[in-house]
Amino acid sequence: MPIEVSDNQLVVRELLSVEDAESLLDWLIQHPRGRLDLTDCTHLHAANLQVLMAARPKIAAWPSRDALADWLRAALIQEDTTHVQDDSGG
Amino acid sequence: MKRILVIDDAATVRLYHRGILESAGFEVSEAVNGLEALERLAEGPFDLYLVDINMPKLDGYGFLRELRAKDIPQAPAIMVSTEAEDNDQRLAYACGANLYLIKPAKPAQLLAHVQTLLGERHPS
Amino acid sequence: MSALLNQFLTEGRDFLEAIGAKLLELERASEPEQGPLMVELFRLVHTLKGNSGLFDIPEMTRVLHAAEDLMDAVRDGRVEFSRDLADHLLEAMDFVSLLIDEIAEASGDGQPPSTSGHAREAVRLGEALRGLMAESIQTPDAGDQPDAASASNGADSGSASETGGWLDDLPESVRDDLQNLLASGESLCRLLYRPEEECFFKGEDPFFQLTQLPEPIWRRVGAREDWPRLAELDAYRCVLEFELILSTDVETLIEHFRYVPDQVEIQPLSASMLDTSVSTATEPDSDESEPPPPWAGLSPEALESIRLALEAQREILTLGDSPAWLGGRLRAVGSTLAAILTSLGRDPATSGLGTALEAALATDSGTYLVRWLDHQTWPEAKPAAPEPVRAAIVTPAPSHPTTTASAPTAASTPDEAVNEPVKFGRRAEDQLANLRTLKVDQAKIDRLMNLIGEMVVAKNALPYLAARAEDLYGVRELSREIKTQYGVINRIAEEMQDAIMQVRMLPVSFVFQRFPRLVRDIAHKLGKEVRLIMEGESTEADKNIIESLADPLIHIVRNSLDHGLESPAERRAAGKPPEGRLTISARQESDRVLIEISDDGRGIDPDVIRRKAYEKGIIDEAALERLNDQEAVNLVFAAGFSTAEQISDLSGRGVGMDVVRNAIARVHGSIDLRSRVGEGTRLRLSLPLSMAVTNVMIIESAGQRFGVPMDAVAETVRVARRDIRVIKKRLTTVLRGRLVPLVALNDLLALDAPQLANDDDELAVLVVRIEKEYLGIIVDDCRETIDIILKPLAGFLGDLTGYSGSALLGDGSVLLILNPRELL
Repeated sequence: MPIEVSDNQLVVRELLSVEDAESLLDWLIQHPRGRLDLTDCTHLHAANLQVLMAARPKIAAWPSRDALADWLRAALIQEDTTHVQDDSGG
Repeated sequence: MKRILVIDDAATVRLYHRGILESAGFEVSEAVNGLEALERLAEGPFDLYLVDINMPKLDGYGFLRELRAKDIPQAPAIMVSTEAEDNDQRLAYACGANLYLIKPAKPAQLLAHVQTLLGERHPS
Repeated sequence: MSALLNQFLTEGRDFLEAIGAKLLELERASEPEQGPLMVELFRLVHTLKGNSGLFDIPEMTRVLHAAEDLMDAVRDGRVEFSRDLADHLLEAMDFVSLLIDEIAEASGDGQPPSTSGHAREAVRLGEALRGLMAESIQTPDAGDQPDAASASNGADSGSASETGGWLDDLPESVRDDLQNLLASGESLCRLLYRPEEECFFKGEDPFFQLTQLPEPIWRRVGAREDWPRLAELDAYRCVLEFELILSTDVETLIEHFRYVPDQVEIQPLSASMLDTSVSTATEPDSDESEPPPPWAGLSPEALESIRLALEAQREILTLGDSPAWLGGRLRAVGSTLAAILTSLGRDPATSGLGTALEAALATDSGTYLVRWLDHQTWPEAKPAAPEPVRAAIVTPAPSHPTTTASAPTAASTPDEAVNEPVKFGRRAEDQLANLRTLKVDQAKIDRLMNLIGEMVVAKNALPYLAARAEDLYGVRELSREIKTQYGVINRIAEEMQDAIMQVRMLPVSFVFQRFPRLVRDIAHKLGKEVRLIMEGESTEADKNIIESLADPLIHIVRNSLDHGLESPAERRAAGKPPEGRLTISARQESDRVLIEISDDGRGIDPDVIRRKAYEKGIIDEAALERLNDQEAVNLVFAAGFSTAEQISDLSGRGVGMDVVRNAIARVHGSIDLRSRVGEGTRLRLSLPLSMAVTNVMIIESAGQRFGVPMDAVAETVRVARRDIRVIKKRLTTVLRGRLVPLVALNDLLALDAPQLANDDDELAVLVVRIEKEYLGIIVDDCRETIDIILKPLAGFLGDLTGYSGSALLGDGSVLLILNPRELL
């Protein structure tokens, strides 16, 4: 359940469900410079994952759960460029 | 030079093996039974053992068991037998042989096996 | 196994058979006939699919779903029925049948076992079936098959699916790690997971699926297409693509992704792949000419010797014993393997052999070295190594045209073939995994059967031996020991015999299964309405018994339909429901199998039978008077009797019930017929569970020995001569308050000798039971019972009635076995 704390930062607690993907996408569209605090996030549905991958928001804090953090880093910080598109979102 | 210990109570067989192995450039030592073979280990470990099965005093199985129980570098051993019994092969493996051949082995064949177990590149 | 699962399996088999039959019918049917058949076929497939959905068998459901959709299209005329289509459906049903068999063989806890090993085959069949629809429809919008379409599209697109390229993308450090892990015996897999676009709508969370796997060694999360502007992004159309390298085995992954097998590619990694990938990177057209292995220059003799040596080391490692010198033996294997590596031109130091040897020494077991052996690439095929087996079965997946193109060259060497993604199906790998069931040639079982038969006979020699030891040589002690030993051997022989019998057991459903179809067809032809009820189909009996049942049963059922059950009009007139009932049931009763065929038809009129029998000269006038109703009804079994007014083309053909009775008697069965006029007829067949060994009692008469099957013997008694009376010219006595007629065996066999009594003037009487009637046979003496293998009498002896066969005894003599029923 995402909780908005400031104009520019979204704090995600526990789980981002499939339904949350829509609102996450909306928020990211409305906040192009929005930041995400994922510290307490335990899992996010794959729909959210692809929203994040398409939007590439700034991550203020990675999940404290290492396994999830590793996955998200792999998805969102990609050195090799097989599928990264620079023109996305811009 | 790789050292091979040929263990057989039959002098003819020892001579036959020695001929084949020396012609290929190996150094060959001989023992007439398992007990003598164990004594020869004091000369330093060998790179390969060629072991007959039926021998007086200590047979090939007994020798291999004693050999494998020793805390020395364990070189491969070929057991050479006149019997083609599957059981003997199993027993030979259980006692510590690494290959089981039926004698008389043809020179080229024996040499191929010896070279394999000694890690020699085979001539192409 | 739970009742539900059991029911599903049984019913499933019926459905499959019906589907198969319908398909064949459809092929032959004329156009107007086809419609109803298609509807029926659709219903069958639909129901079967629904049933399979009750269990966790996605592979079966997948194929049936595709078949259902296809049949739906056929039914609606969107797709034309063709031979090709029938072939595909039949193939799909074979697959389902295979799964059913597999589930039936496994599963003890009520849950079907995982059939995920067939996932690929399921996908292939499913796609083939859907492909037929796409072809026939000829319309580009295959709107109702989004998953199939997108799945195959998805699999084709994207460079990462091409097997050659992906390894190059791995960072050097990762590749080194993988090398080390492989060397230490880890099994590694590469997983490519492309969830289908609609997966979110199906409640799937591909990401969650992945987080349930062990931490990957390497991963990449990407997308199948470029990300659009955020405003245009459809969050619910999944375009994600995951690529992972994990330390796990193929089977685990297959199991994990068993519900989406068409969306994953799983590939086991081998050391050689990583090796060759280095050269692949530098050698752009390497799939044309692959680098020669280091041992390319070795002579055939050298390679053969290496192969032999490897085989020997594997055998040594799998010996399974642990002698005191195990450590030395393992180290000797280590040095031998190192030497082999050197012979092959490889460096033992970088091979991981050292690590594996240390692990082996630490665990006092050859396992680690065997694993190491399995993970290496050796010249030619390693015998008995799992990896090459897998390699040999790998064929390029059909959905990858690029890999298929290079396959002819690549697949020729096993280590190259490993690079192809694993494809699944009924291949060597599955067969290895499912070896719990053996298919054995029946001849082999028959041989076992004959051998145990001889064994039973041979063991019977021991009591004779014991008797000789005592009587002839006077060594009582030895005699007793032989008897004790006989007891032991006897027990083992009996258990062995029982075990072999079990192997030969077949359920009666083997014969019953054809009845639904048969009854339907015949009833239809005769214009009758019949409801068939079958019970106890899982009752088992010996294969020979079951097989010998087939023809008599069919004949009986035909008779019942033909003569027993009335037409609907007749039934209504008689105040019965228009639909007749035909019940076929089977059950086991001690060592017999009872099969009952009953109908609620018109029954058999004894008066009609009497008249007919008299007309045909089967009975004379006196018998006409004497026969009671039951005896009259039994006349239908008399040779040459046929009750039908005219021989119908169904049950007639000149074959009467006498043939049925003889067929049943041949396997030592009996038949009992009861009928009530207007109410129906019941035939009861009683058959032995198996026919191999017969327990007989030995009797003596006129200085000869005979055997009487124990199943006919009710009891043996001594009757004082003075207690025997003559009533109506027949000898009788009273046993347990019951009047029992007596006959002398010597009279029956026309032996010219009086029966001998014992010292107290008592006669030995063998009371036999025939069709619920008791009869005493006076003999000279009753002896022990023994097991014999009954051999039918051959040649002219075969014509002798009164004997059911002969048997060889332990002392080499031949014993004639009496058949009390025919004697009297």
